[in-house]
Amino acid sequence: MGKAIVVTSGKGGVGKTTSTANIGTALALQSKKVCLVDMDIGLRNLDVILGLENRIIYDIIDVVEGRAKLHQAIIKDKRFNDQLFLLPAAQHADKNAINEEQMIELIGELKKDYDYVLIDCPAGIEQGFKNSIAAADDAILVTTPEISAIRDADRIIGLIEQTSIQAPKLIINRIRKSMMQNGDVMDIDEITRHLSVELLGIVFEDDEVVRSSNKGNPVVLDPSHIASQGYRNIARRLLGDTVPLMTLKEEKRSFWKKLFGKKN
Amino acid sequence: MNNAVTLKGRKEGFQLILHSSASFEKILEEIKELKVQLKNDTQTGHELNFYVKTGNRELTDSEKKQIEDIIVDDHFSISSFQSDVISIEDALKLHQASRPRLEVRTVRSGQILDAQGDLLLIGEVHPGGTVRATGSIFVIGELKGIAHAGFSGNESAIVLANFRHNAQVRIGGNVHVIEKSEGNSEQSDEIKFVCVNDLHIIEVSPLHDLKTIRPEIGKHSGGLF
Ligand SMILES: Nc1ncnc2c1ncn2[C@@H]1O[C@H](COP(=O)(O)OP(=O)(O)OP(=O)(O)O)[C@@H](O)[C@H]1O
Ligand SMILES: [Mg+2]
Repeated sequence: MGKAIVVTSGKGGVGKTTSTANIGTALALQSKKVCLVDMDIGLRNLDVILGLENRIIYDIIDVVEGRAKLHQAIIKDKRFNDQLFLLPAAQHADKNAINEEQMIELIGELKKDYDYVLIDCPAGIEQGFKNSIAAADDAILVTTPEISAIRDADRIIGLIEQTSIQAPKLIINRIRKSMMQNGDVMDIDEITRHLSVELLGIVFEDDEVVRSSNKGNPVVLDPSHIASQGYRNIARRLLGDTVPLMTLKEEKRSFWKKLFGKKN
Repeated sequence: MNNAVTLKGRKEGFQLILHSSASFEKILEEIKELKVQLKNDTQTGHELNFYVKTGNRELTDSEKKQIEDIIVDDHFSISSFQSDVISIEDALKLHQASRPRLEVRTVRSGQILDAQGDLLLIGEVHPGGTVRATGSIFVIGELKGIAHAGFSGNESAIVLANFRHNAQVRIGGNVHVIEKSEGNSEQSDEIKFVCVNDLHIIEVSPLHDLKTIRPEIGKHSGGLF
């Protein structure tokens, strides 16, 4: 029996979809069998950044409404051999086309076949959010160091506390070293302490995220990128490894290493 | 001398001609008289079949029913009603089915463009967008989303486009993903068409094979003849 983890944030655009794709890919690279579930009905993206958009035949709503069997809707990522799969969201349907009971049943089915089921939650706290958390065993909360994102993250923690899901684990995404070092934004410790949840990992701002998403290749595939390392560490921690946190200082060292090292 | 209906013997049966200038009441009246007359004239056990020519008149279903009620019995039957005219609504339907629907637009992510019959799209189908037709689909522009021809099951429909992007083509219940991969020449900068072959397999073929593979394309009559 696998585990269902919802990736949520409250605020939009902080990196839920990016994190889902990259953590999922990193887990697949660690030989786990992973199914990514896109719950952003009407505004799906996960298929795009995985480069699977044109392979979609059926979607989650087709499954719920009986037009397709679950296995028919699931797309295999050909880059991995039987490790990474996607259940796409519907692009022309309403968020209310699926409810919490249906989600629980569906995710329950998936957990029989996969080690990890990662649910990419839509922004907001409406039906899409409710559906996404209804079936989850655990939650990953994504925020950026921006106060507004942290506020929304706080709100989400409160909502998740009312469910049977354990306290979410935090990812701080899009960290810009210089701003953090200058004190322009809250630092990692301050954010973690303020939200009082466990820190799962940090991901630095990295242009390569956008570049690779545009090509349909999650950044985590290439270990030389700084964001890739962040996501690889997060995946390892999810698997139970103890991996030291990347620090701003260490990041600097690796920067010098990069400059003088053989690679790049 | 009757002036509302005329009866003619033909080898297919009796032709009952309703005159366009006569009122429907008069027609019914005369058909009643005719029926009585015919019943008297024909030997019992003899079967008679009629077909009704309504001329420049289009009968409603209830009018047809009234005529049938008079004529049809154990020995008399009506095989068809034939009219020289059709309603504007039906004419439009035929007209539409007999020529491709022309659309000039962009079909964006999440949008579905549906067409009865053939569809000629001038414009782009964006990733995540869908064009669907019960007939064939012809795209002048870029196909980056889904083109679903023969939507209601017609497997002889085709999709014709310039397949230079990642896209998806469906014909009837068959699905084909167009994407760049090694040793695959489907994606190129020339016009091709996708069809379902005799083995029920989707196939991408160069334009010059169209006339051989689908000679019927372009010879639509709209079902009128
Ligand atoms: N670490 C990063 N460095 C640089 N850019 C990033 C990083 N993480 C995410 N982005 C970019 O931020 C944008 C938003 O990311 P993403 O779509 O993953 O957010 P989201 O939370 O899923 O958004 P939504 O709420 O709309 O679903 C994307 O353009 C993505 O490429
Ligand atoms: Mg998203």
